[in-house]
Amino acid sequence: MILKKLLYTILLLYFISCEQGGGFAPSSPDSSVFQCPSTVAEIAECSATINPGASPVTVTGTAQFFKRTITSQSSSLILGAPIPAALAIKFAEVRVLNSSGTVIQCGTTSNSGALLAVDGVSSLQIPNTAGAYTVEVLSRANRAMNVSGVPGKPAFQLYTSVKNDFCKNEPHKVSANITSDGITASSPSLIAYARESESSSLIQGGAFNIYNNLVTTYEYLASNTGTVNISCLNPKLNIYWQAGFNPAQYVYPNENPSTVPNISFYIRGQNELYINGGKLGNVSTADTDHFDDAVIIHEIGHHIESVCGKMDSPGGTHNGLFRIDPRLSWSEGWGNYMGAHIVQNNLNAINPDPALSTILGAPGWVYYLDTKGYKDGASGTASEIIKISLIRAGSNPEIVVNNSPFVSTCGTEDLCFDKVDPVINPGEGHFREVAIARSLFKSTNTCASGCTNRSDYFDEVWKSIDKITGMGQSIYPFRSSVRFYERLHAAFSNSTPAAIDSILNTDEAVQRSNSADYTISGNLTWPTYGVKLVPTMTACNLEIRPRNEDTAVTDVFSDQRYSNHFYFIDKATSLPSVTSITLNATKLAGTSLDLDLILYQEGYSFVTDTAGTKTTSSAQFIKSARGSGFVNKTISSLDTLSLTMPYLLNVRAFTTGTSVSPSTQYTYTLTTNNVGEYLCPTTF
Amino acid sequence: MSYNILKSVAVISFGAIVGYSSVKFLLNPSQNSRAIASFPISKVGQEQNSRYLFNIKINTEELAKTEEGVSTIKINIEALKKLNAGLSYSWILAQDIELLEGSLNGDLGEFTENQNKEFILKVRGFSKQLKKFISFEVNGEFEKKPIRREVLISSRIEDSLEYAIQQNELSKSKNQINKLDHSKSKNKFSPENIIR
Repeated sequence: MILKKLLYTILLLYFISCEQGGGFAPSSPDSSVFQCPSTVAEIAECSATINPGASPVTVTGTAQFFKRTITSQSSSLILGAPIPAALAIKFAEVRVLNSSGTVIQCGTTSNSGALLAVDGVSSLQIPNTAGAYTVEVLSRANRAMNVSGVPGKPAFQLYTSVKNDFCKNEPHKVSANITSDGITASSPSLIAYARESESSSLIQGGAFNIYNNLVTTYEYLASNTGTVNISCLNPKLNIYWQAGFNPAQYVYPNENPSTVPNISFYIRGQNELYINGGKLGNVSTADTDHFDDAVIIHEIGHHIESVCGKMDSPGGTHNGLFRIDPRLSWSEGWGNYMGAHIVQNNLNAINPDPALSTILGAPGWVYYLDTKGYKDGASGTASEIIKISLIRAGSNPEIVVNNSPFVSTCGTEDLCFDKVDPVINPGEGHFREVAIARSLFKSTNTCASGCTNRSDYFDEVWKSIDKITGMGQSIYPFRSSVRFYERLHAAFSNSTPAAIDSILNTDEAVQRSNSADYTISGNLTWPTYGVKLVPTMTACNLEIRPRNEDTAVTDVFSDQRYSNHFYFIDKATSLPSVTSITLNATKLAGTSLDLDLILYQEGYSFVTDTAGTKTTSSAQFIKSARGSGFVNKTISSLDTLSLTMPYLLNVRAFTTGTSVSPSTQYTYTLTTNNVGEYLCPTTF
Repeated sequence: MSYNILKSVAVISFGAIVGYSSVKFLLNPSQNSRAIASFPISKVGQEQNSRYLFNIKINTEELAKTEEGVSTIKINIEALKKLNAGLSYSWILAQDIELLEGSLNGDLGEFTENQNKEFILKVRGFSKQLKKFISFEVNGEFEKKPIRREVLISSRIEDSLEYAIQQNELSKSKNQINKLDHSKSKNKFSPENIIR
């Protein structure tokens, strides 16, 4: 009996321990995950011409879609009524079915949405059998993109399918019935609508808008990346969206659907995008993303980074207010930039509404915009969730919370999207996603002041992120904007245009690695994030200037810009004989702090300290020396490290639970087990 | 028999220790979890800020069957830490929902840690008969961070795909408990894979 009670007690404990991680908690990595009860395979692609026989009948017609436009409401931008003229559904798969439901012909739509044969040139033809037929246009494509405008550019593929959900795998479609008398056939007009009332609440216009965003992005890349091979885009991208459905429920399936936040997201390594379609069937007041082009293209930007470059983002909290992990700020900044840049440079293909152009005025589309609900006459309730102008100055960015009414500039009392100061805080832009997005946008677009007015610089941007010449190459671990701007410098033949340098150095605080701003009184105060350490026989002048914990500038304990330095350890090529590394620091001024060593490996999550408590143990730590003081901190047994794994050495000032004087400064050295050997940062 | 029970106890004890330790480790607040990786700038960032401050629970057990009936909706807010004033709430009703009792907006007021407060509305025109929506929002600023949290309440949540997913998951969990199978399968929707 006692044994049974013990058994039950242990079982109960076991269940409780598992349940702790099972509920909805974005901070819990042990959340349960959704799996389909059953999965239906996507219907086969209709990609080959079927011989229609003698004297075939030609089917003509067009496929178009409506989307909700952007309109103004006070100073906000919101979703409004559908655009006045429908947009073409380009390059999409066409199927013609007979009355039995058998596919009797395949085709594609043209650049203008016309129904054509699979080759995209010939007429769409069906057998001369009189009867009723159904023409379908799917939100799916698998065809070569036109690169003929750029001689020498290798072909690449548009391969995607926008489907309802990942269990059913049904591509969205518009269809129309036609009749043939055996000689001629009626011409279908296939239209995907944006209003629930016009689409039986399916809002296929949303699916085709997502599809159109991808097609437009790929068309832009086809003609704005020079002769560079972008066949990295060839793998199929599966996109899942359904009107009124919040895909975050897949991620947090246990949670009450009413409380799950609406999100669109990209699944790393799976080539899958999930676009937020609303919640619980609500699209009129809920947060939706199917017409938020900047949000959709932000997600497409993550896909592009993942397949054509290399995504190092570790994730983590971010909301454009704080200094964060530079790998995260880069990845999100890139997405924000792409969301605004593609719309700005393709407005006619994405939203040709003349009223929108009037609202936007001269700068055009310069925003990352996320909306909620819509306002369509008397229907719906709309609001702007977030709007970030990417042409604002780094010193006066968009205000999130205005605590100084009647003052339109971002003051010290306001909450603003990544306000930066390149003089006081050089390099802090590398830790801020909105500063990165602004720097990219202003470097490649036109605006009244502060931009390069050179959209053709996107060519160099691409060469800086891809796997061929950019930071997507495997030789560049721990990717961040500082690596990006070094690759951009190389793409410009080591002569970055002055207009870009001005943005980096005097506007957005994203100075390049060799900036003199990082050296003060002969000491290097910010070794570039991820710069490689190499052995030398002379000491280098390294100085760390830790900052007080400040929730106004960083949302985790330990400021990654000021209280931490990060060095790439390339064991195989730079430090083969090193078995230990020792930190010795000298206090120059300010508060006495512990200075520690932590060794991470590629893919790490930055481990913070808590208020007054030092984290001395973590699965993220490969090695650590986190005792008290700031001398003789040694990590050893480095001969056991993998020779192929990139490691990151973190010199950390322990700053929580104490008041750190602004004057605090320490110089330090890094030495090895080899007598007289120092470790110093090399050229980035 | 006793040997078998002891063997079971030993195996399960090991599982309990491993399970409990793992969860404790994974929930270590000093770690910057990768689970929140994917959340994007903006709304979810603000939503995330709020999740460290309070929980929201919804009670819609007293929904009328027909549009003529009276429905009661309860929101319970539990503070996870001490909250000073500065957060406000608002209910947003569809136009044809009639407010009978309760305040549509106000301040949350101060909370001590673990304190619960209930916000109740009585309405007509929000029933199982027709699908309609009511929103409850909390907005404000806490320690210089913007806070925004919204819950959307449907009168017919059972019609939604999200509900089907949740019920499927709960059913699966129940079956797993019955089978003493607590392996947490990690798949593509594991939060560390999600990039927003």
